[in-house]
Amino acid sequence: MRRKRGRQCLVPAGMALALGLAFSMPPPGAAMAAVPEHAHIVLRDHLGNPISPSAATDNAFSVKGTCGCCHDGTNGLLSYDELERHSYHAQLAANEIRGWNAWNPDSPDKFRSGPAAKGKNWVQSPGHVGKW
Amino acid sequence: MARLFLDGAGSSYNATTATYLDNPFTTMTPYDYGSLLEFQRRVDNSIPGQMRDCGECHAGGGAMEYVPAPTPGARVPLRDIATADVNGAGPITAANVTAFNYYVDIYDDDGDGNRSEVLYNDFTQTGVLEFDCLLCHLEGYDWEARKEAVRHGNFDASRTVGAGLGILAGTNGRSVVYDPSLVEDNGTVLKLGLSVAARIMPTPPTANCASCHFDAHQVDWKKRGDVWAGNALNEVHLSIGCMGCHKRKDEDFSNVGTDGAPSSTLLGQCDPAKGDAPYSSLWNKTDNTVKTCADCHLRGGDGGQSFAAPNPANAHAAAGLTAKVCQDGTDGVADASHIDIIACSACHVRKLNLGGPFTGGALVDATGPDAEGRLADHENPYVTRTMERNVAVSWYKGRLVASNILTTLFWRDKNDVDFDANRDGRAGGMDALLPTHVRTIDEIYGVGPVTEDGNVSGAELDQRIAQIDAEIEALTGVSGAAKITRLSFMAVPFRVNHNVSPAWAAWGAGGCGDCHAPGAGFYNGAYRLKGEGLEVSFGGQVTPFTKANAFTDPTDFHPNLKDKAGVRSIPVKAAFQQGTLRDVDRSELLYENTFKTRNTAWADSLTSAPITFPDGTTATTKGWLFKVEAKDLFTGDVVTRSKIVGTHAANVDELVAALGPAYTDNLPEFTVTADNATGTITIAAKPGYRVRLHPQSSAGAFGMAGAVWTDHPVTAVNGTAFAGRADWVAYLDRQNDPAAVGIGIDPVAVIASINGIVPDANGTPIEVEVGQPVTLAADTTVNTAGTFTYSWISSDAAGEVLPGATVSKTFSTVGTWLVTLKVTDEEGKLSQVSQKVSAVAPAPAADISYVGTASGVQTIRFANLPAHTMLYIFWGDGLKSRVYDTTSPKDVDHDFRLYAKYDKGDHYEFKVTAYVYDGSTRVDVKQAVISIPKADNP
Repeated sequence: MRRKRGRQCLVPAGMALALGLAFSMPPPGAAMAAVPEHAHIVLRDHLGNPISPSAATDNAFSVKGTCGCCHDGTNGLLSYDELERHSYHAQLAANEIRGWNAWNPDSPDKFRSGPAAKGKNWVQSPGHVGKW
Repeated sequence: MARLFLDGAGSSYNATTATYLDNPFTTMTPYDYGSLLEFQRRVDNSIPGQMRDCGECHAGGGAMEYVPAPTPGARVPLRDIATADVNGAGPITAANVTAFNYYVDIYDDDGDGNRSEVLYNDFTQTGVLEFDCLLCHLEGYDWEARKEAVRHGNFDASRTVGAGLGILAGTNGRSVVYDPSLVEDNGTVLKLGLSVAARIMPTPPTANCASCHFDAHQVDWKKRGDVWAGNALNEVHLSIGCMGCHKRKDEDFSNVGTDGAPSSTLLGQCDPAKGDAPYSSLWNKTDNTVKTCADCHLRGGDGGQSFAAPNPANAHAAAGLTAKVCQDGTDGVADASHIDIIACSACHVRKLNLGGPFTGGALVDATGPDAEGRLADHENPYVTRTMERNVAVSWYKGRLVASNILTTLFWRDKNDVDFDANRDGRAGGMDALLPTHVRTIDEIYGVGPVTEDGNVSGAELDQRIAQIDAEIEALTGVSGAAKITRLSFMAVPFRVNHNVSPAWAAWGAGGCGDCHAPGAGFYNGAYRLKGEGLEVSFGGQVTPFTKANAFTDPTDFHPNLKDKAGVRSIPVKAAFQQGTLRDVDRSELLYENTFKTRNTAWADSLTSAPITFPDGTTATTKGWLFKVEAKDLFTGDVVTRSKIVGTHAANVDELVAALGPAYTDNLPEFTVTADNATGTITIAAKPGYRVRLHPQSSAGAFGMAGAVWTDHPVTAVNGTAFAGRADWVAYLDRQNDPAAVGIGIDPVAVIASINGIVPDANGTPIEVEVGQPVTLAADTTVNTAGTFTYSWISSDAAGEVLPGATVSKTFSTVGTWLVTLKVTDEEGKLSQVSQKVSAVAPAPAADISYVGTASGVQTIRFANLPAHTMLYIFWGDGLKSRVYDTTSPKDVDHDFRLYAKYDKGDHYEFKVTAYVYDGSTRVDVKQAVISIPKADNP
């Protein structure tokens, strides 16, 4: 079940009461494509602070701070960290690193006894991070 | 490559048990190169380098956002490494030259024209590559803009420009100028505009996947010639998009992984479901989660949407593809169909130029940078090719899969003794030159990748080698060692699953001859490895990629190109000693020239051939792997003993000494001895043991290839054995008549006999005796074309199936039963015939019987006698006898009175009674009418 997005992700904390319920909230469970559920979301830095319109530098938004405001592990939405750390597209074997010179012909670990072949001690994992 | 961490020294050796043990890898202390010069000598690509290069596609997160740590929660963000404690080793500051904060400036970030220098990456200025949700979910995401941003370290900004929300501000990698038409500004905060939010899709649009995977020169275009464009003639599944198949089947996300543990078999919420392909070793625990062809075409979506996929079973059967005319092994048993041993993609992915031209990668030229500055060139016109009729097949887990061969050519150093050309700490081994060094040398001499002009010649390679040899010492910091620079080709068959053609274009749609004909192009026929228009010639400048099969077979193909059984690598010399990168025959990727398999025999001793020792100057015994299995004959237990030779040996004495004392004396299972006179070594099992060589061994180097491999002819389903590829392929080429293997011909069931009795035309029950084995025999001569399976059932034994044309059956119950012979052919067609059998009780045991007449005296047998001491016999002719005896049966002679009153025509009858006494106790009475033929008593 998809939750209503948190009011604090639409406006900075403290402003929600002032704005009241001016926002039109999508119904729970509505498809994102049908209703732009992500409209009006506040752009934030990696610490979750809103980006000031007057900031001319260091103002690129962070998906961790912006998307992670709602996707925070509550109300049925996994957190950014939960999504990032358990994704092969993100990890690229960063979570499978065996170390330098991992080859061991007797290892029960098939990576160590196979792909991490002798002479290729720089093959430190079965994926991109550690191989290249 | 770059060394990431200080610890993780692989393994340690237990000299007593002669085994290597994994060392724990737990602390993950960032490795410090100490100086920029050392970094430049030893590193081509670091984490900040990957972010600039590979980050164009890789979505961020992972090591592009955090320093890997023993647990996900312990990871320190790259943003903070200069101040935070990283994995207990303190901050990584600019004074620490690591793979996490320095990179080789191949894209000339600072604009000084120097693409070889090492630069510091200040993440407080560049930001990091977070796991960019919009890269996948935002319709219209601009991959090119992202690429341009990451190239020069604008990591935080890359998300803004990729999403089209703004442009680079130019001050640092974290600063942007937002587009007010897309980002709302209420004076206090910035908010995502409605038009952007409306393009955020719950299911990633196919175009987003394609921008990294399928567009020209992208990864799957390069590896597999895959495109996702054109119309349904290019890909019949075009309309369902990538996530039609890659959407997880548990659509309610009931089993989502969140812990980041590589042991987890659960997909994360943002993981597209994965397939299973060779050379793809990333998080393999989550392989085979993608929706398969069968999921939709046979099983209604199998938990997900099926898209009304048509069921091809009838069409396959009509084409004979479900007939069991193939084999799952090589033993000649027809136990598999074409469908069983061929993946769907192998026949259905044609990449015919029906809906537009297909191109793909042929070569990756790592001898120089491409036009964009990437360290290898896979984009110039001579490393690409048309895919039209350029799909091959290879074995993967016992099935044929469609494959595209992508061949990388790269420089390497063949001095295995003292030139550590890539500065990885090992002078031996493969030692591919660092592409950053190659690029620098190319720049010095004003040259690029050797293929870029469409012509690679021996003279050019000689010139390049001279250039490398002139510069490599300065770049590596290694001097005084012999330089043996060679070009290697590494051909890798990447599995192809995309671009499914319409069914009418599939291999086999036109009949058996589509594939089973000389040069047809499925399993045979010329396959071009070179790019379009590329001319290649050379002499001795090329060395093979590796030696496969226990160091016995030079090959230019990756050793994971396996035979059908997955036991041996298929060695193919496509470049080495060929004078060019030649076309191969597709069958070379499937079958060895001579079929072999592992020699699994246990031996009392194994003696090598005379060993050829390298001279120790540029080649050495160091690194040879000796690995022996020993079997305890009493317990059946098998132990493995290993040793990597750690020194150079000039003769067998030195070689055995280098193995260590465990091998010369101390191991309980065997000893290794040297014979300097013959230049051989012998592995001798101790009493109670047998030995064999492990296939990981460097058997070729040790002169023991025969101890690991043995010839292994392939037996066809017609019983003919073939020793190697040429004859076998010629045989396959002839298999184009379906009727010859029985397809289209129905089986016939005929009972030859039951208990030796041939059934009559009326079906008269055949009488057999209960409790006695009966032979049921089918007539196999009536089935001549095809493969047939015979079995028998009988109504007396529900559930009992007796397999075989001729079987033995015992009826245990009296009655009339229906015996049925079933004959199934290779197509699964069934024929059956039944015959009634009357199972009758055995004739009563003849306790008193006539045996014969000798010398005018008849012999009568008394059987089944209990323990006794005397028989009191009344012969039925008025005479009686007492016989003192304890045996059973007992033959007693009696001269019967052959009077007329006993005459029954052709015989005499006498009612004989025997009283059986054990001592004084009568224990039995036996009585019978015996018949004495007149013929015996004329």
